[in-house]
Amino acid sequence: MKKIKIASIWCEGCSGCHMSFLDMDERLVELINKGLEINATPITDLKVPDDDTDIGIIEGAVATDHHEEEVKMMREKCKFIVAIGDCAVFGGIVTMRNYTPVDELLKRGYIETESTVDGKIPTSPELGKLLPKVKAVNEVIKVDYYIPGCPPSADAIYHVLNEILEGRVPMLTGELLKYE
Amino acid sequence: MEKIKIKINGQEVEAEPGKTVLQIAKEMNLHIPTLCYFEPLLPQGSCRLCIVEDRGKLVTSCTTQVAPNMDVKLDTPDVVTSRKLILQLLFTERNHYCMYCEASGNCELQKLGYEFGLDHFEFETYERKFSVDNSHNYIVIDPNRCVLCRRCVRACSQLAGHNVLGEMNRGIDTMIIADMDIPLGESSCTSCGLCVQVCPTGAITDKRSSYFGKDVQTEVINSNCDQCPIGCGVKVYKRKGSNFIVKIYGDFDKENEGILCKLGRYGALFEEKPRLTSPKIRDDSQDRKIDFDEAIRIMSEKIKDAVIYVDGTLFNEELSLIKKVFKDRVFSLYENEPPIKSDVTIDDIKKANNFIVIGVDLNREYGVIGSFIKRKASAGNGKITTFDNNFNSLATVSENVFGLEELEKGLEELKNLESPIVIYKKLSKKNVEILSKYKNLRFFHLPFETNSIGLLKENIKHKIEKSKNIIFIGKNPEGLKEILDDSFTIALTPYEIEMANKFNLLIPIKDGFEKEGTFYNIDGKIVKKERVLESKFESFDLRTIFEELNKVKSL
Amino acid sequence: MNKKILINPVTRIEGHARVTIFLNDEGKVDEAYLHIDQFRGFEKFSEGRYFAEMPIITPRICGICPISHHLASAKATDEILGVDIPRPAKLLRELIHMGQIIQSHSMHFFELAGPDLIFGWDADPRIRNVVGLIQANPELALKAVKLRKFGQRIIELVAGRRIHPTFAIPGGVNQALDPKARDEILSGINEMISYLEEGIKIAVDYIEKNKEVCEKFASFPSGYMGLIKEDGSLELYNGKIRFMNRDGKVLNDFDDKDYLKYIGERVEDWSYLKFPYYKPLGWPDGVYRVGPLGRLNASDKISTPIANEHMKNFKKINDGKPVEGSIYFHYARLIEAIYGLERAREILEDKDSLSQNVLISGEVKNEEGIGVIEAPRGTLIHHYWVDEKGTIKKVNLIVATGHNNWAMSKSVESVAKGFIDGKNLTEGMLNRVEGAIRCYDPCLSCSTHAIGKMPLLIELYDNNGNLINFVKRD
Repeated sequence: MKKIKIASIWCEGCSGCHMSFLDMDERLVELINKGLEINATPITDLKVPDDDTDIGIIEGAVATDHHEEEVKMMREKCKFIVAIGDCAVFGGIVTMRNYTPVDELLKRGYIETESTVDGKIPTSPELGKLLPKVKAVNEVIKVDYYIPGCPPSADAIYHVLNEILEGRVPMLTGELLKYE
Repeated sequence: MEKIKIKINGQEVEAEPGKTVLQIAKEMNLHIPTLCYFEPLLPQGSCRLCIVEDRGKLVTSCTTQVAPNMDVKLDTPDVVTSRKLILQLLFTERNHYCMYCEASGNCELQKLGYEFGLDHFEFETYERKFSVDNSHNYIVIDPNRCVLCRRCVRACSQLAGHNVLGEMNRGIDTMIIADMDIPLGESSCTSCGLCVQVCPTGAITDKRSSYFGKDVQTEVINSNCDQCPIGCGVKVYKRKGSNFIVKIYGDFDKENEGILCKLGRYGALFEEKPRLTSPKIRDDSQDRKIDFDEAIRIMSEKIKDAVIYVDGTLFNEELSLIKKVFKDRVFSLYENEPPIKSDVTIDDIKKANNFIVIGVDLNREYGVIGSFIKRKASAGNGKITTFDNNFNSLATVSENVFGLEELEKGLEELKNLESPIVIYKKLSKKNVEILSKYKNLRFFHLPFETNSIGLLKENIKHKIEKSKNIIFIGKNPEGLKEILDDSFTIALTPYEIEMANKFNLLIPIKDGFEKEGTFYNIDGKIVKKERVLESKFESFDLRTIFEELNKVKSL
Repeated sequence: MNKKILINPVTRIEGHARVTIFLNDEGKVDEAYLHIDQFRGFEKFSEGRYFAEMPIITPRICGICPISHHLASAKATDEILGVDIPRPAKLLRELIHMGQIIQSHSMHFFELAGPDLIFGWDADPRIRNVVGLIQANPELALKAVKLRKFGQRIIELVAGRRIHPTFAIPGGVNQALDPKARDEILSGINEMISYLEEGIKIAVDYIEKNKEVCEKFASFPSGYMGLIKEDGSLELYNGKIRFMNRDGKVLNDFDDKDYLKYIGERVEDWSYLKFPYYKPLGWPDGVYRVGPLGRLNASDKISTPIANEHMKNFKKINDGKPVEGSIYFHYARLIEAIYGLERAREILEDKDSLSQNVLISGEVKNEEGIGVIEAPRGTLIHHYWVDEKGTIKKVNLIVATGHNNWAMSKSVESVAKGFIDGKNLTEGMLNRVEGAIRCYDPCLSCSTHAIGKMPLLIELYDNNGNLINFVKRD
């Protein structure tokens, strides 16, 4: 069977989707034996996906200027983009910060919080700049497949990867399509 | 009336005129997705998910009545594309993220998303924020989750007759509001909770039952509410495999039409007073926990010439058992004889147009009766006259308001009304006389306690007098206050009693959803309350107590 | 001339961070910074919500230890209701917490950090990961997978699903334990303990063979903090907070409700993650470490027999004094995972664990609630203020990884100084720097952020921003 090279990143998410990916347990080993090749991901030390990567999995919404660059990079490197989890697919729970201007958020976090002593808002250029509004991935780049869920079940992730390995277009129905 | 021939999905069908396409399709077991539609409410066709195609035109099936030559198709590509677009718009208009929503799993919007395979948004996500209204003791309104279906507004007026909820602004800025846009907790809301029950999303939720369980995780027990003698039909949602109730909903198929009052929906779920968790004896002004056997032994010594007082919270089975054991030594602690007997039923109330309410605020007690008459009044086909000396919130929907001493004057003014129904609880002797003079009146008595009628049927009369040994069985011992001083007093009761210092022996009995039993409802029909929970405390049913007593001393 | 090295992102930690290292003229490390780069604003956007939502909202801070947030939050909301939850509910909450300790610690050791110990710091990055482990030692890899699965399965069986369950709610939990689930978990515990014993062997072998490295690798004195039971033994769910100074002296066993009196957080310009410290000692004397190393140092013993045997060996490492080397985090982590399994067994053998009385309802009584728990990575604090109707007015969170922020930066600096030679950069050197961070198993999605993936490019710049040398990993 043809090898399928996958890479993944997480942006403004909680990594729960990656954990759900690991929750495939033994089936992950099965997929690897079937031809799934895990390229750059947060669980490996490769930092940039190869140019011939087949599937780029994106967890998390787009919340900083860095995220914007990263999802664009993924789009360039990968043939297909899969948005995984409610944050990447819809924007998710983190969009709740859209209600509040960025400087107010930071003020609460770094100045007002009760345990903070002599707070200030971090401004180092090494830190990403928060976008005024958190966005779903498809508001920034074209997305080919979506796996919603918070997180999507391991079954849903397995289904999508297995369908791709078997050369079919993945479709989520029934218990595999969930928003929670 | 002559039936109309129409076609649905190519199938010919004869439909009753006046029915909607949606109703006919349902009768044919054909599925049309809906959101703002809710069976007992008048349809309004606002969500537009129920659109179907009739001869090339898209129409909302919930508001379109059958007409000759209709040729309806339910799932044409045009219909499906439109429904998907509508769903996209609904999902992105406000915050419809399921992961932390209380309604997830029960939500109708979510189910529609799954049905149409919605797996991403085609529009940008929402931007507007609405503040959550947490001001109410039992209900949260989160406008961010609202789809503006107005089910709550319609239920509040058309069904429950409260007219608290309404809306303001227009289009996507529409807001569901209470009264003149004040916090729900400060509004005229009676906490009947029907809005929570009809809301399809997480926009109106129940505080207490937040995250207690989704409907699929519960078992539903059909029962009757025993908070008052109306005995409303309820659906009790119990978490499967766990000993707690998720929520209580009104049963739309019963006489109460899904409506409940604050007591039935919420009151029954909160322990009003701390529970008595073990038998207790009081000697030398000290409370001491004792075991059940000792309690039974002490009770057996006092039983011979004791007077037994019961209240109307006991079920028929318990009353007949008590009566069997103690015969004519059993008395009702509270008044149970109606001042004037009822000659109408709840059904008559629903059909009547004129109501005279005397000395009772139907927004505070017997709330479902209040709903029945208020919704008539607000729909313009009912008139309410209120007689009361205290503040009575029915006054706002009453045509006439009088003081109690003005009864005769008031009735004189109303004497041309067509057979009004008089609704009352207590009446003074004088007012009984006045009322009996008017022959056009019909009477509907509100029994004092849940099973007051059951007491009468068992021939247990009201009487209070001092006695050396007193046994009280029930929940409300306050009526004993004057006579307790030198008696040896035993209470079989579920609660820690405030005036415990007047009692010598307390034995805990089962309460609420821990026991089952029947009682006579307001119409004199026998209804049953089902057991739902296991008792969390050491407590006993009367049968066990009497059996054990009998072993010690023959009763 | 200042040179800057950038490692971005730091991988195999749960979350992302970047490291910048400044070199001096001789190519020696001058300064090193760990930048943690996220702010999602949970503290702010939860304001105005109904408090009962918090145990469902806050787990979305972190998908790796969602149970910790779920439980700390539920404990805070219990306090708002002013109720003492039923004992069976406490047991079941602790049980899923043990599930999480087992899965999180096992995953970290075998799947994230283990490859460094097994393959070596300088091994090819293409194999130095869990997939490499699957290919090199499939038997061990399968055990690793099973261990993680076992922990996750406990959560799934008890709470309904593995990640982000809706289970702990104000007043208890919403589902009693199914006796079948109890039997399934009980039957697997011995096997899982044996897997962890293998892990401990790997760790101990490594430590014995690399004694010198372990003593040197990110080893430094600090205070230590963790929850303890009344008798001073290790506690993860509910107890007093113990603070121990760098000499191993217990300074305080304080009530978790008093945390604001004892813990302050400092902000540095270069990180979105704040730096907590023990207030009575001030900054920087009050810096401390939490998590497995902090907890085992702070506690006297462990209440379960097998874990306690290992604890005795652990305490011997520095003759009863606090163990300072960051590499020992891995060892401590495995001991805690064994405690997790043993404690899970204790809970399941308690007959209350099968009781159906798992919830009491109530109304808002207190306008403030604090919930503290030992997350896998350290002490987690949730603090809410509500109005009389239960609307969230303010939220303060101190997350587990945060407490180790200073220590991680210190470790980075220490390892960078010890191992990096700016003139001859190798990938392995940089991996050591990452490894120092990995000791703390930082969960940066919790603390913070996820900056996402950027090329790993270590670039050395001169003062004028001219690139003078680089190493690329791809």
